[in-house]
Amino acid sequence: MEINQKIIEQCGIKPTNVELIIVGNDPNFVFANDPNFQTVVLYDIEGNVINVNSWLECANYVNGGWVNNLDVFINEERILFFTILLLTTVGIVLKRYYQNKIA
Amino acid sequence: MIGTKNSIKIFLIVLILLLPWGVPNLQDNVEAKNIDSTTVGYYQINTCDISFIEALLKNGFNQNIIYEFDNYSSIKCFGKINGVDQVGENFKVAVGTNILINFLIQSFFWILLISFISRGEKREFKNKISSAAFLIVLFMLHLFGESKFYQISSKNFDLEVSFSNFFILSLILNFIIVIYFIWILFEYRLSNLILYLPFVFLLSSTFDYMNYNFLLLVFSFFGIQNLIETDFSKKYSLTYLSFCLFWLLRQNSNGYLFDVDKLRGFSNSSLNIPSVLFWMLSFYLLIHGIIYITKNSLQNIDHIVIVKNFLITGSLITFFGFLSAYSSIFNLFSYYYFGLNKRAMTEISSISGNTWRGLAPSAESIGEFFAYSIFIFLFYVYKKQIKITWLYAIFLLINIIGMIRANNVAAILSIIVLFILFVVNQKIEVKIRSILIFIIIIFLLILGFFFSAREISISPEVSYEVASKSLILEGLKYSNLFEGENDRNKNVSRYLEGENDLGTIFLYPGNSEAISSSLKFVSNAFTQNVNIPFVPNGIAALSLFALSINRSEKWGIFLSKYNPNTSEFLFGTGPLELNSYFYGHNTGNVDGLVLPHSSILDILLFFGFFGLLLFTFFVLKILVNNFNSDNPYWYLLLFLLINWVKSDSILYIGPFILFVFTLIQNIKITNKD
Repeated sequence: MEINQKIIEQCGIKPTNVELIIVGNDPNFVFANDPNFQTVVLYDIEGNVINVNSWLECANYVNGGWVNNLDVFINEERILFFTILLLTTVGIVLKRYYQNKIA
Repeated sequence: MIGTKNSIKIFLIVLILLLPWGVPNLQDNVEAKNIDSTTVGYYQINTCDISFIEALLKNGFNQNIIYEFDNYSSIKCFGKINGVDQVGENFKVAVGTNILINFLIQSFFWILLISFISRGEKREFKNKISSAAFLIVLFMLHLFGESKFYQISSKNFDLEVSFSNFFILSLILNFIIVIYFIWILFEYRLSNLILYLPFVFLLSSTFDYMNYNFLLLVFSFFGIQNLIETDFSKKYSLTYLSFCLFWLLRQNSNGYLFDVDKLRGFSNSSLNIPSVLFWMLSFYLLIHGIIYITKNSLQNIDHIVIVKNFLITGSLITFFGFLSAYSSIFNLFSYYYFGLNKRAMTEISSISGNTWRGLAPSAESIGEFFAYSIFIFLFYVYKKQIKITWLYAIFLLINIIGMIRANNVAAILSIIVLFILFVVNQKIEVKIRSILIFIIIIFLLILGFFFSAREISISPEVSYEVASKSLILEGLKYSNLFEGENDRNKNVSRYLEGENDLGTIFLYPGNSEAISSSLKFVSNAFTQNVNIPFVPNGIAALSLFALSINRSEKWGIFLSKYNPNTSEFLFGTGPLELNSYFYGHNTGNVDGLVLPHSSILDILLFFGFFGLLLFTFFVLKILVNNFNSDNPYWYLLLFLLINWVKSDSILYIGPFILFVFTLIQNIKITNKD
């Protein structure tokens, strides 16, 4: 596992005393809590929530696709499309209204 | 007094300039900090939280900060700081952008600027819906054909044909909206549009991170109108159609992505049927678009206004070029809002003490533009149709500074010679034949002047012997010869200079197969046994010419790479298609985007030998048949043709439009034609 921009953004910069370990799917691994680490709330695509209490735990979950902001799962293009469509429709209606008013 | 409408437009322009970069993230309280080595981590953690303007206000005009656009960001991150990295003493700050939003913002900015053009007679466009539908299909062809380009330009680029693919739906919707505004904008302004043609050099109008150009869209729309509304030359269209069929039938798709770099927006990045189809149709429509504008401006054309606009544009290009060099913030904004193909130069000083391109992608083409503007202005001053005021004297001076900084010696010398020719022509009536003889003599004198100061990179000692085969020497130097052996150049020098033996070099194992077909042809033509007394060898003459205009290396590289089969040589590979040239042969010995440095060679690549022959015949016919010493565009057509021999101006949309415009000004055109 490499420390990428996503991990830095969501978990912060790796503390110097932490060793980067690839945990993978090991069910027996227990993440040790780091009292200096401020708890981060992470979400997955199905809306599950988890509180992570160490940088290592956070990095591993982010590497597995978890995020700290549900906005990531929002289809921005869809919002943009309907916003523009709405604005266009409003524009057309207003234009028609003023044209009729002048006529 | 500024009217209410103009005030609203100015307000909207300011809004478009500021709003996209000033929207903060309201969901948290992350504040901008001074960017230094201690806050790099802070910016890396808090990406997409701080707006660009917030960061700008906090950091002022810190010269150590280099702002760059990050096209690969989400819509949410648009206009926000997307990352900071320290590189030496400098900090690279990435500002999030997204092609869907770019398309809208840049289009509306240019539409608003065009809306300042005064309204004229109304022109009702025909078949608007079907024209728009055709343009959308064309645009889709472009996206499908050049998907490789867009996959690295946009994070969510997706071409799946589905009603749940909102990326493509948004792009099409944006496209429809922009076309609609083009209709309503140009319905009343078409007749005045030609007066503002010089501004295409300032507003290159290339969409950020797209290989598409706003001007191409506008001109394509006009091109369709021209095809619908007026009788056009079937002869030329059928000739072009036959070329098109050949290009499509002979197309060999390759998977390479051609890095268009400074040609962005007017060059094919991929070699496949949809992309070739898009560019050959767009090229055709572009020419028809320019003809359409000219036809519809016949009654309103005021050459004095055009001339003044040339001078103003040249001044603005120089001014903004200096400003972009001085300020990295303005450099970023000029790139975005002028739609530049490439970021403006970041230094006032010239490249290698040689040329300064400012805002333009090419110093050569902008040098030609300055020379063009100065000539046409002085022409009308000489004709006493324009009076030099202090303001125009300043504009002229700025244009002269721009021309000198661009250091296009060929453009400077040729424009001086043509101006002298024009003045002589005004004093005594000269026939076209005398003019051509005069030009040839001046041309030879210039050649002689430059020849004495040239060097061939392969050999510092320029003798006639070496100079007469400079093209072959340079071509072989960059070829695949002696592949895998140490010091290939030494081997080439040994055979060609030491032993003066072009034949032996090909006897070396593998060399004969490695060399390009064009270089082989040129070498054979140079070493042929036919010797006509007092007639120089064609290749030797061409080599001397190339050396004297400092093109032996560039044309040598062209020869080392240009490897057409017979049909490609005769018909070319299609307009603006450089992919097969760059990835076809000899891909390892030339670094970066080394263009042929001659529009004549570009035409040979695109349209083949037949295309080049037709072009030469067509243009020379216009030049000879339409000689008019009182028409400045006659001299300027000659000027552009001379300069096209050594420049790649055909590869840029602005210079190309200028050329077609100049050509049309030499033809007696009517509304019906």
